Amino acid sequence: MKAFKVKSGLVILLLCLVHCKGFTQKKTETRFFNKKDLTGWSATNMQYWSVEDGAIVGRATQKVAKNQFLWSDVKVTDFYLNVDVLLETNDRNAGIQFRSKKADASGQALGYQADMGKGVWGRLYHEHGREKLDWSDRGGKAVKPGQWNKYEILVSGDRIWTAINGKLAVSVKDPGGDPSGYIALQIHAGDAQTVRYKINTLVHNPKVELAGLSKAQLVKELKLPLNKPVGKASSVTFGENEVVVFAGGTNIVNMRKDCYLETLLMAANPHTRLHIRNLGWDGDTAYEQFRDVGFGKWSKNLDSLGADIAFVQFGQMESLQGEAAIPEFIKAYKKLLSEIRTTKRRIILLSPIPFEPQNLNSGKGNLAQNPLQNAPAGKYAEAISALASREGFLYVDLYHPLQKSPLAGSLTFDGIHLTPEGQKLAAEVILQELGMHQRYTEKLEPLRKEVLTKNQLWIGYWRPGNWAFLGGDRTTVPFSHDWKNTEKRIFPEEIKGFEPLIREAENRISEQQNLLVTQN
Amino acid sequence: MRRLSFLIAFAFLLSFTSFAQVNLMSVAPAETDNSVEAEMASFKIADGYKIELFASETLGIADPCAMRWDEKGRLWVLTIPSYPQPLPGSNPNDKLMILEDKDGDGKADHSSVFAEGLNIPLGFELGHGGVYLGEQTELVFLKDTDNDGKADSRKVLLSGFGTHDSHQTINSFLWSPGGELFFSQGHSIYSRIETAWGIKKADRASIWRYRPLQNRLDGFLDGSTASVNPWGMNFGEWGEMFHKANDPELFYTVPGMVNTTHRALLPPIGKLVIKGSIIEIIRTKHLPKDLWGDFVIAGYYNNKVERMRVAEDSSGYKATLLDPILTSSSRSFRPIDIKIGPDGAMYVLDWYNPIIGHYQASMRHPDRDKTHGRIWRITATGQPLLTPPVLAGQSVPTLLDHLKSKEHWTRYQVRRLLAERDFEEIRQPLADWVAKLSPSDSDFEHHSLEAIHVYESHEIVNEDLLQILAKGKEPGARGYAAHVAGRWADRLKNPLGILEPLVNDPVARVRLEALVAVSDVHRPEAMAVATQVLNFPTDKFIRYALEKTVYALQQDWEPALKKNMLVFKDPAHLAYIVSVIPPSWYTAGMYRKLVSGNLPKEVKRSLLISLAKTGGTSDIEFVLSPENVVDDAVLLDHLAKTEPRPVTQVSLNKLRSILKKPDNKEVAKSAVRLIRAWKLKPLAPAVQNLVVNGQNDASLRAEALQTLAQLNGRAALPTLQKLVKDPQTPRQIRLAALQSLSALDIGLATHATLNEIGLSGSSVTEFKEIISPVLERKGGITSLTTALTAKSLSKEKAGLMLEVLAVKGINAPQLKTLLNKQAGVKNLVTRTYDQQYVDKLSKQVKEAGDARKGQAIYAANPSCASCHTINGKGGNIGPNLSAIGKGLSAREIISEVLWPNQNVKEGYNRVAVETKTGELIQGIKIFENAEEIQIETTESKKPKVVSKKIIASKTETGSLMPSGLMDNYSEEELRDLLRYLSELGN
Repeated sequence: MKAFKVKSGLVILLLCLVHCKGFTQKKTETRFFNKKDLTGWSATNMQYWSVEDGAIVGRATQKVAKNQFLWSDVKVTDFYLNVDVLLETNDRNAGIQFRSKKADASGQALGYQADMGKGVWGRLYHEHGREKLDWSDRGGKAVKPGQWNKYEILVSGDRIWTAINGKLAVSVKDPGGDPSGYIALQIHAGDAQTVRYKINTLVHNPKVELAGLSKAQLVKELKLPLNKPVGKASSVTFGENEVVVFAGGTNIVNMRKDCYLETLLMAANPHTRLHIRNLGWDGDTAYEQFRDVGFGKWSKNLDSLGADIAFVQFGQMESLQGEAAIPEFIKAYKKLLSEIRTTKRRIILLSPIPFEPQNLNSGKGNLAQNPLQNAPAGKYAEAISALASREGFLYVDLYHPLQKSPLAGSLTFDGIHLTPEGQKLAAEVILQELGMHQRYTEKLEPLRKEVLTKNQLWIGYWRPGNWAFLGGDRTTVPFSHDWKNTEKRIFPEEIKGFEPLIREAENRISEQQNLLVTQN
Repeated sequence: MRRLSFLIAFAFLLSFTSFAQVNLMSVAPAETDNSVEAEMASFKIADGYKIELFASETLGIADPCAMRWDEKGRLWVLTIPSYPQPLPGSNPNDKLMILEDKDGDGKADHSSVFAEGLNIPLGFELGHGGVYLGEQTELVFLKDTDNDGKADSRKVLLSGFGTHDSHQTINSFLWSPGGELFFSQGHSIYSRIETAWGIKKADRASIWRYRPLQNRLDGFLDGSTASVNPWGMNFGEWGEMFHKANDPELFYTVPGMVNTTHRALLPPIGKLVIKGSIIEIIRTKHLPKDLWGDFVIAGYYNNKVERMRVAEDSSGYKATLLDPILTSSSRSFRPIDIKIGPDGAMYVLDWYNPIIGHYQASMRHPDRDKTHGRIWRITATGQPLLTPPVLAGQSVPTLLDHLKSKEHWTRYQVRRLLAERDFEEIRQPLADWVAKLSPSDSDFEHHSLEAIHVYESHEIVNEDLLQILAKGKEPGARGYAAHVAGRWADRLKNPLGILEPLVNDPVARVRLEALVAVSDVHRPEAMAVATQVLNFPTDKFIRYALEKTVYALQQDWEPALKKNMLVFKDPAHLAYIVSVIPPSWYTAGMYRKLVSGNLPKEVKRSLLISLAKTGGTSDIEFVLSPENVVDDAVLLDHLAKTEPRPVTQVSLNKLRSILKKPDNKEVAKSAVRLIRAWKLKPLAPAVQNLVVNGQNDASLRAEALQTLAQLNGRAALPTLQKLVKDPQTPRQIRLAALQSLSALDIGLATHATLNEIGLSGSSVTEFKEIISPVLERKGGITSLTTALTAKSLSKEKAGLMLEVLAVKGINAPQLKTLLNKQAGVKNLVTRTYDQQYVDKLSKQVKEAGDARKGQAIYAANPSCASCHTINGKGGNIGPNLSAIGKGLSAREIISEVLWPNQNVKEGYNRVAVETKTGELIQGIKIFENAEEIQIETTESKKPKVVSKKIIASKTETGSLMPSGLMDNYSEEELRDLLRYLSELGN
């Protein structure tokens, strides 16, 4: 299935007609709660949970040792939930988990919680994780203690709003937060209590409006959470058949030829059958990613390939403009990243590498001033690191490990671009940061060879010569047409011939991966 | 009836599919005999020369695209059989071959492969013990490290060159005398290269300069501003740089070697009749004296070896076309590289292919020749061939002495060999060699020049040598000294000290080189030095370079000027730079001060415009003062193009007085246009007086009429209608009234147009003037069609109108049908694209076509020559047809003439613009940037400059050449015309 998606994605990319977008049809969930029994709900201890008068009741008649959760089996991403809740007594604590997952076998929850209880009503908590995210008391002010209260939760992308009795409570933009998960209802550990959840409606992909506020007004209210997600690259996992893309300038382009990062990723994830696509393009910067007519924008390339994971490297060439240009660079980078950000996509920012001015040229004083001498690549790396933690991107520091390497000074062939040895070292640093301690050995050479073959096919497919005739501004002239039947275009057909070849090459990569596993 | 037409259509569909095998897209059918002998027999060589085969495909050089000599007299040849596009999964196997003539009989007898598995590389040059090769996105360096004759090391030097068109990737590599590697890219190429100096960008055609020891790349003349496909450059004996477009034009490159992103079209210095590439400058004893210094060009399009003579022209050059050295009747003879060999003979690389069009034929067309390729040798009869000196493995002193050779081949090789050596090895011998040069030797300066080339190629500064050249007697020496001072500007203590006297040199060419060099000196005062060139008369080359220099140095001079730290010797110099780039912080007061000086008209005008843009009401009053406008109509016209400025009673009075006493009618006309543009309604009565006063010049009244219509709108209709109807009104004014009416009321305008057709309009030109205003308005064609349905034209007038539509390139099928009916064209044939028909016709063209009659038909049809040139006559808007028969087969010419939209030639796409006021402008786009678009129309020789601000919509599709131009020609006439066209160029 995924393979098909990749293939059709490629075709779409090639023809550059359509920008693939997920379905975002508004839909009311009918399986959520039947108002009669707990079909579709589960808990480690079901004795706390029942249905009374069309409401889910969580009741603890005596002291509870641990938090109790009742889990729905409906998964939510973007949704609107409307619940009437009654907490007896008001000094107890409960809450509604969303986009959450089970943290352990005991059914503890990890994820967002719309909190309830005296002093925490209408606040946003990150259970088992980052804890306080939005701790304002405006929701609390709207609560009628000891009575039924209307609780509304609206989640869209990385934005979360809640309202109590029609008054806005939470309003948070949480980039890099939990993209999706399940809803669960809570009884907090502690004294005896009863909490009633009367579920009114659950809607997927809802319209963004709440508490009488329009989308624009809601967006205006957004602020970043008190505790941002920790951008730890080691948290990245690679799923079965996922699409991984590399994007950036010449150093990324050269990964296509040296293949070290790709080979290490493949070796470290032997069973996942990753589809790695190198979208590196010489001269791409955060400011400009030039593509010819019809090729499609940088961000659309990622989307149409269905990229699940993106390694992105900018800031190297940009740093030649000096420290003063850092704010401008960060602004441009942030904007660019916002174009490819989705709740599901994991984005890993690679820092620039240290320049090696002595390798620029033959030296011998043939220049009055070496422009690489004072280029603040390190300062750019720091700024990117800060951007990553602010925005919730993952970050891999190449700058300092490469600078500290015993090979430092001989990692580039022109002061800017990594030699194959440099590529190898950078790849190992990245793997280490990902928590995959895979080093390059001779044993991986056959795998690397197959990766190289695949990459040569990939470039012939994705960025072939004669683009002007394939998809650019010269498609109508005879070049791309059949010589007999001039109406028929043969070039696009011909290029499609790469598709089975790429699949075959990927099969051979799999074989090599298997061999590595069986050899161990 | 409906049923019947359906059946016909169905039958046609059937015939279309069943005859689909017929080849239409072949550019030229392959020769029946592809043998060397047959090609040999196709040659016609100029008197005094002899042509022989040097090498052919038998040595493995099929599909050769470039060649270079090495010091051992071996010829390196690049072959690209995988051109134009490798198949998926195939491993392209293009090769760099080495040919040798081991037995010295003038024919290559041995070949070896230096590098293989290459992917459509288009060019290379030898150097630094290896090969610089342009391959796809990369500039790579190949080297044979173990001396087995094969490359075993490959290093990417630069990457990011565009590949959007595989026949335009980086190509035609050549060393400059100072050891810089030059190459170029074509029209569909967009490059982004990461260098230590930032990302080097070039969109579309551009020339690249690479300094290997610095690893520094710079691009020049991008945006196709000096030809859409530069292919081949060369350097004169004093380092003067030229480049050849793949099109007819030849360029003197130097004015364009200013490093700035500002784009402007570089004027060419001459041109061929049709396309040709590569420049070889003849500098060998073996060839006849008469040829020395001439440029020999590879005429791949019309199967010729062309010859141009280049002479000094003020600060630059001009070139004239002489008779070709070689012509061939074989369409497969495709010379694409020419190099003088070690023996002094001229070697011609022959791509040998009936198809040269990259996009004019299918990528998989079977006639794209994959099996042939030749190198021809042209010698002078009766002249002994030269014995080249032994260069390989020679000592530095010996090599240095060869720099005194008269043979350019020798010096080119020696410079390269010396550049390859470690500088420590040549430092002392070179210093000794220079020390021994005798100033009394007539070639002293040229030898010094060769010595400085060696220093340059090692990036070693030698200021003493530079000073010798800078003070040389020979202008070439001084010009080159200036060039080197620019190159070394970052390492010289005082480059401007050397350059300032050269900017003031008595010889214009030296001043130009010095000016271009100053543009590389990034110091504020450099601008003050550059502008000293204004102390002398200027010409198009100097003006071009100076304008670019102002942009190149903007970051240096502007901050200094702002801080008041930049002093100019002459206020006019400051005025000049401010006229080119008005600083954003410049105030009206500053402009007022500048403009008070004694300035050239253009400079003063530019400042006045800036003043008008920035100043208040009193400044506008000043700008409109009689002393400023009395003799400068252009100033008023430029003002009309600026945003309207506040106008006081005083200003109005100044303009009014111009209208009252319109002594200078051009100034008055411009004033009227300004009033129109700025919508100065209070002046409407004064304008009305101008219009109605029959004493006034008609052209002025006509202009005023349009302003009146603009100011008063529909209230002007009575005046307009009165004038337009009255046969006593001068025709010019009636036409102006038509123009204004068209903008106000298309219905009334159509009515008036028909009336005017009755009054005047007995020639195509007159008719065109009458109907153009309505045709160039939104809805005009429909309105005219409706009116003519109700009221027929006379047979003769309908005919004229049809011709006007053709001449203007307007596609209006309904109107055309109607007019054809009224013109009584009986045997009207609408020819629909049909391969069987094309086949039949092409056979008839060959068998029965009469070129003489065809020529008469061509001459009698004004619509052809309004756009196309044949042998120097006709319009430039369509492709030059002088050698169309050489480039296209009869079949292709048929489709071009009958169905022009099928295959539009590069650069000839139709652009149609509709302005916000409903004006329609169509033509060929020749230039576009963020602010404006320049459109070449059939209406005037000068391109129409349209500001993007006034454009409502723009479409760029199809051809400007209308379909159906041949509808009222009989098959016989068509046959003869096609015969004439297909013989052009033979």
